[in-house]
Amino acid sequence: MDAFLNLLGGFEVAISPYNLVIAGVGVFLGVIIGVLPGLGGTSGVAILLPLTFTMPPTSAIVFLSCIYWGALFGGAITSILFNIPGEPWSVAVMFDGYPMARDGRAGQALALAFIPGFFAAFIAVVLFTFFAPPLAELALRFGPPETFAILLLAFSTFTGLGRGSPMKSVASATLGFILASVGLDVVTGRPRLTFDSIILLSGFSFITASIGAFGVGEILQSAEERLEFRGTQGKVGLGDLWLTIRETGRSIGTFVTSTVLGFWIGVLPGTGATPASFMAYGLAKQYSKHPEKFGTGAPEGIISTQSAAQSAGIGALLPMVTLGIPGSPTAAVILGGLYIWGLTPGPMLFIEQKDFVWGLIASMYIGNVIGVLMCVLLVPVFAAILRVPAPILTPSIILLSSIGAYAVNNTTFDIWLLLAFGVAGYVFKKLNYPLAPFVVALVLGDMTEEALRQSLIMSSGSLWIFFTRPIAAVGVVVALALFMMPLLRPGIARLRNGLGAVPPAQA
Amino acid sequence: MRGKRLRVVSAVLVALVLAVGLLALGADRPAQAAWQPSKPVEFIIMAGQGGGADVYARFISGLIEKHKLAPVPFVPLNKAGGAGAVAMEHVRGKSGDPHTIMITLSSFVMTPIIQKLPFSYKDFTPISLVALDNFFLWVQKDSPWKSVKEFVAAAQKESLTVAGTGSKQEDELIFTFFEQKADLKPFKYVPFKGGGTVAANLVGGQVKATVNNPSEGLPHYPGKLRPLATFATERHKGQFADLPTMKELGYDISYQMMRGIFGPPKMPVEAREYYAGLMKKVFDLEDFQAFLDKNVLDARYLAGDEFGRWVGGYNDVHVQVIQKAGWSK
Amino acid sequence: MKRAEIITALALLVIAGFVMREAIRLGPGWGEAGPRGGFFPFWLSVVLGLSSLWILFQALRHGSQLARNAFFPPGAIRQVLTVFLPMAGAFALFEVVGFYVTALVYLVFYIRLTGRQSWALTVAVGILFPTVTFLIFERWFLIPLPKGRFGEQLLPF
Repeated sequence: MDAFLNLLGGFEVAISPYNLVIAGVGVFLGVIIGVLPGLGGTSGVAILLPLTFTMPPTSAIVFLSCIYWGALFGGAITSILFNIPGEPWSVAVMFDGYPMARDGRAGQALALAFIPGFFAAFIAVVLFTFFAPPLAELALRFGPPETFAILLLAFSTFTGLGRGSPMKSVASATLGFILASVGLDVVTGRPRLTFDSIILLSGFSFITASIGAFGVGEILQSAEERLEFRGTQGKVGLGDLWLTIRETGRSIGTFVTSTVLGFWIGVLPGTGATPASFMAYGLAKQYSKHPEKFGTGAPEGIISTQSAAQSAGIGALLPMVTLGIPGSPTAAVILGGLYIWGLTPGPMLFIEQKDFVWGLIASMYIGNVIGVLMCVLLVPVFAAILRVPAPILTPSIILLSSIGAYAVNNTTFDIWLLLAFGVAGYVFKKLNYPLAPFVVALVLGDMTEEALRQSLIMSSGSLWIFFTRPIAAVGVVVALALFMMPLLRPGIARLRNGLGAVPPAQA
Repeated sequence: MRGKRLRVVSAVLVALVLAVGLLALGADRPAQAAWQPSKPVEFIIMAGQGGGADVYARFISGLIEKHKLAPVPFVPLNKAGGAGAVAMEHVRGKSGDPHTIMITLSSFVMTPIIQKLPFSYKDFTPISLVALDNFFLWVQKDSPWKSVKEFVAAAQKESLTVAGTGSKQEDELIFTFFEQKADLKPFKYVPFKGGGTVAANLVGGQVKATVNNPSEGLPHYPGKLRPLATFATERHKGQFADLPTMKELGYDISYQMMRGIFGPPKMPVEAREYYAGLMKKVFDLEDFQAFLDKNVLDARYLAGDEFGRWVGGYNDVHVQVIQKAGWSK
Repeated sequence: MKRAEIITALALLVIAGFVMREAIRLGPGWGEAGPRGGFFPFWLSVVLGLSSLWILFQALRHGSQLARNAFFPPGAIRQVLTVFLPMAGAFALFEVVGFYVTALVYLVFYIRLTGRQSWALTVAVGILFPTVTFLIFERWFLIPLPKGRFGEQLLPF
């Protein structure tokens, strides 16, 4: 009940006219930042941070967090309409969002991102409101072995993700892993696979790779068919909302799992919305009744990824406020803001700066309501973009993509990488190499290796560390079982058919 | 932007003016009374968004903006990667440019010692030091070690698991230093990507000790963590006045992290003086001093050749420890 | 299609070879504190090598089947190049005159020559697009876009 009263107090702070305006402006800027590939939520927040120096801390945090909420919504837009991720966390939304939009159901695809995304954020804020301190305590029990177990679980849900030749899926995933390992090795502090090039020390950015392989690749492919990139067609209307709510109701299981999973991944330090969205996708596919529809415009594919991303975004602020540990890169920048405003994060914040903490929490409710309203009302504007003639749209999208790649490291080298990934994506697609395993491996690859090697330093090289710690053990065992599934399935089927069916020689 | 022709004409004109200007600069005229930047200044950050260096850079550029200290905006630009090598390479390529400055941390001297790179700290123009960041030796609050002496006794018996930011960077350097001076069993050093995560792993009991900066440990103080000592040369004032220094406890280890500003090679003297003066103005701001106090940084301003000499000494300390640890290559 | 399959598989094989060489240099083994820097790259290169060999083998075996579909449908190569070449050209131009001038040239070229839109529309987009990106990125969000070798002299603002 205490939380409830505090929350009411928080609303009093957040609903003051000044803070409401700040929240609205923040969400609006966030949506723009989310839409533009060159502007990420993380850099957007970083760039606007100095603006907050003249605001009171509560308004400042409301402003920055609302930018984050806006960007979480907005990232999905370009992913769905043009197959170009506006944000890292909206790469997974492309897998099904873009195919659905290309089918002429762009409006429905957008609605499937916004509406469940909003409800997911709402559930996440409720969890945040009532369980922040105990959840933070729980997050602290997750060391490298537990993180490794979670990442292994994520990969295990992706087995059998690619369609077509399994060998091509393997090649695509290994290539992703290899690119992920390029750069400075965090564990040894030495360059790896950089071939003495300084520029390669930063490694390959998964943003450049996915804008290239998906976006530019798509542009090249559609050029083949009819000279122009046609983007997506079809009406975008508010009537899609009702369809969406019905669809979400049908996939309620996927929605709830993705939201809860996303929230928890967000709470864990150092992960954030991007891995959360990929994990939710793998999980949704694994347990879907129609896994074969994933990748061709399955509603669950959009619902799971966007819900996970948005609840992870909320979750990421939890350890930031309660412990001073950023749950995601964007949260890390907001945390920097806290220091600048003269606040020290941590449990004391809940006692000494009640207005600040509860104002922030209340603004999460308000910001997400503003966000969903804004996005839904903007749907007709997106429809207008789709009516822009292709000869104008194509070069504009190419230019925006190049800004997106450039802004990753502020080097033109990334623009050339974009071109290379574009060609590779085009060729891969034509030859039926699946692209999803490649991106997933590139995103999660070095995180996984890092967690594994950190764990092994702790245990002096013994793999037992994954089995002597209860949380890690459960995760690793389940993951291993899932990896074995494709091999075990025939055996299980045989067992079900009765032992009699098994030839005596094998029994 | 009214018309294409106007734009082209003005562009050509300005190109001419600039060309003449460049020639004039090359002629090495005596310093003008008041050089000022004429276009936005690129403020390069040697690390990614959200890290310590990033916070300082954005704070400083925000203060410049808030107090209208400069006629142009300072644009923070992250060049992460290669423990600073990518940023240094970028700034080195801007030789002579008066509109680029870089905020640095220890990796500015360490990275060129450890990695094979075509440059060293000497190639860059020292502008000013603005602060020295401190390191505490942190343990969990309910750990049995109440003093450095008890900690050392334990660390001499077995290899303790410790954590820090990055590999072969300042945190590991301090632990190695500690090993060398106090004759400890080698630590099992677990590298993480950020200081906040390092502190979280100590609070969560994954590791036994860290050398986090005060700002990273403070969120858990005094509830969960306990500092045993500071690696500063002298005791701090205020909140941590009772915290002993390693030196007074008999371990000759002092280490502080440079938060300094550098320019590209061959930066014009008047630009260098301008930025040094600007940083002094920032340094003297009440906001800035309050920020340093709160996060237990030493306020220390040095500029020009004095700063250059200081960096030389700072570099030598690193060379010694790194060579002894066998990290250089 | 057959040739494309083979070339791609060979390219992957070459990548695997490079990675393996580098991994061996880094130490592919298992040190006293777990895997060394080259451990994962080494085994990844092995898997990549094996899978690309398998793909190569399949392409050679089922070659006649694959050969029936051309990699480029008739006329497609021209279409793809009309998009690809201007794009690559624009990226090269970034290095020389920077983003804004390139955007203007590229848009005018593409919209007018490839897209055959009216001059009025072409010029309007050609000027509006760089202006809007300039305002958003350079002015409001302070993200400097590439200036190229001469961009700063051409557009000094």
